[in-house]
Amino acid sequence: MAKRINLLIVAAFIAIGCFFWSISWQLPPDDPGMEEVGIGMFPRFCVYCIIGLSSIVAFSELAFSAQPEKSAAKIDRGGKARIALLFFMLLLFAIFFEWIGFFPGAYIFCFFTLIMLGEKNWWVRLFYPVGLLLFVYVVFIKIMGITLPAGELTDYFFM
Amino acid sequence: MDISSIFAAFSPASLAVIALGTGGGIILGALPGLTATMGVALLVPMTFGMAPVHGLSMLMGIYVGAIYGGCISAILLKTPGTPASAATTLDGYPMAQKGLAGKALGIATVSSGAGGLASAIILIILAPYLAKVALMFGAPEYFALAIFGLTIIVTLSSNILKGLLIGFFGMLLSTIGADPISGYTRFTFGIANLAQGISFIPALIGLFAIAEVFTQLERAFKDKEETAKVKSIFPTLAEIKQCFRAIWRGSIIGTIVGIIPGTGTNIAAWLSYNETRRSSKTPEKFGTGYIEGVAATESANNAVCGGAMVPLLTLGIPGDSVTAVFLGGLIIHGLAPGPRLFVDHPDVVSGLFTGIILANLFMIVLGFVAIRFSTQILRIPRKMLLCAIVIFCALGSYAINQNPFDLLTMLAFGIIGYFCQKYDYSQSALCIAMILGPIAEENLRLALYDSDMDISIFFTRPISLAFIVISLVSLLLPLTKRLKNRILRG
Repeated sequence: MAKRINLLIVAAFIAIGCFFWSISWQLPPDDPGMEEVGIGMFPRFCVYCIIGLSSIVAFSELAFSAQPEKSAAKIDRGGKARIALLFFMLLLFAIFFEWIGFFPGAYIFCFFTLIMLGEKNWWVRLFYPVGLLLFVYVVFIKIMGITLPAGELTDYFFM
Repeated sequence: MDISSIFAAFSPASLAVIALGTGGGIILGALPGLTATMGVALLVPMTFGMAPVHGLSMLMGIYVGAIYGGCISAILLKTPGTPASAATTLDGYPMAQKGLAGKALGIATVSSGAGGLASAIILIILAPYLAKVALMFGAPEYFALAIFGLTIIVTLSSNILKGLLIGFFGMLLSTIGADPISGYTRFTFGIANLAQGISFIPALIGLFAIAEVFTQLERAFKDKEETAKVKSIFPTLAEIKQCFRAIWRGSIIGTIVGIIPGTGTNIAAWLSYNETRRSSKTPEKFGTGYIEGVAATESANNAVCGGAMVPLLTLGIPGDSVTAVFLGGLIIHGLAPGPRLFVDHPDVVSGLFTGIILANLFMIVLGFVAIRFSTQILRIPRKMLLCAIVIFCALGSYAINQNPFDLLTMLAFGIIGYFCQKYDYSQSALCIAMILGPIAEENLRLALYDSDMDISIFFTRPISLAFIVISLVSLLLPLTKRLKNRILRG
């Protein structure tokens, strides 16, 4: 499994490299007489190195496949599901937090994150995010003066 | 030295932020899995609204505190809080088993403070001279220096080929956005948010903090750790005298190792431990709970903090992942690290030097306070901590540009960082390549313009040639060694 993923990663590097390489030829040169030192030169140099190194890594992966999977301490079976869940929750938070507002969005995010992490105590689930966000409000908004979006939804209900 | 900025570092606001940073760093470092890099990455955006000296001193406090804090869990749990304290477990934990946990933590605090202060003094003496030399560098030297910085980091990855690969990938990513010479935008794919390139701070928060959260999520949670009891924490004068040579040796080794880009706290601690054991009259006592073993490792790993600032401040080359993130802190305050920093912002340099000294002094005081509460610190529920870290990551990524796109950047780099950790690609190499990419590109092109496309310019100038030769040797040496080993094993 690890070998297959390693090969997939290498393939992704090559694909990204080729994509950048094809675009780099559309970039204009800095100076008509010095095309070689133009805007596309350095990216192309990086792509050549990426493709060369990827090929060597892929070859060594295929030729010397005895590399055992990294023994991370106590891998939990639900670990991957937790990562996927957190990723999607963060993605939703990133997309919607300007609309919902930072504080309501962060509260919902914290509440569900605690559930996902296996917190069983309902008081903690409900009130830990309140305490955390109160800390954020005092330190970051009141003391440090950072502006966070109130959110269109909050504006609609409270303005 | 700018006297007014030295006095400014003693203002109540400055002292408060340094103490806050150092205290926070100690707590973060004490918790296994949460690294100094993650702490500095989380705090970089928070320093945005502060005066540069305050913000940078706070980051230094976190760095120093977290490296020290790692010894708390190393001694009490046999689990190093940060990789820097791995060697401390050798003698620290056996001491705790003998009922001497307080003594071990006490000597670790004194040694860390002594190591940190010694390296800060060496930094203050050495950095201005190195900066003067670096002022003579031209485009070929800077290009060679960027390549040198990258190769040194790459050679320390567990897999050099993968380290190089991710390094070039980082350099390719650094070409997204405005070209450093003409200003022409490249590889933006019609996304306006990429016109200025990939936002560096959200990227490094993703690489180091979000990736770490993902990795932590993969493991089973163990909320309640059994810790040793902590009694009589202050070392006696006789014990300090006994450890004096180990502390002195560790401080020198740590500072030298810190100055060499790409080495780091872990290597310094092991080197110092081995050297102290080798030169000891009672080497057989090491590993059985010997106080000198703790002093040797802790003085060395904290001495790295000051040493690692030398290449960053004088050459603009981050020596490890923490200093790479620290560089982000300099950038958001509009400061370009390198020799010009000493000419253009002597006030910031003086203030930062004072801040480093103060951070180490605070570390000693707050360290003894933290020892008193060490068992409580280690019992902070991991679930709550991870939740808070993710919120701070989101807050930090958004706060700099007030742009929700930065949250997506953070998330994307979080995933990249997670895969890097899991499949042996060096995150530090990616991060440093993204920093060094524009420096390398700009100076490569300028050097080639100046020499009419003659690449011999990199080999005919002595400093540039020296950097290229060292880079090649440091790359080829471990590769040939591995190849030789493989051939010998048949």
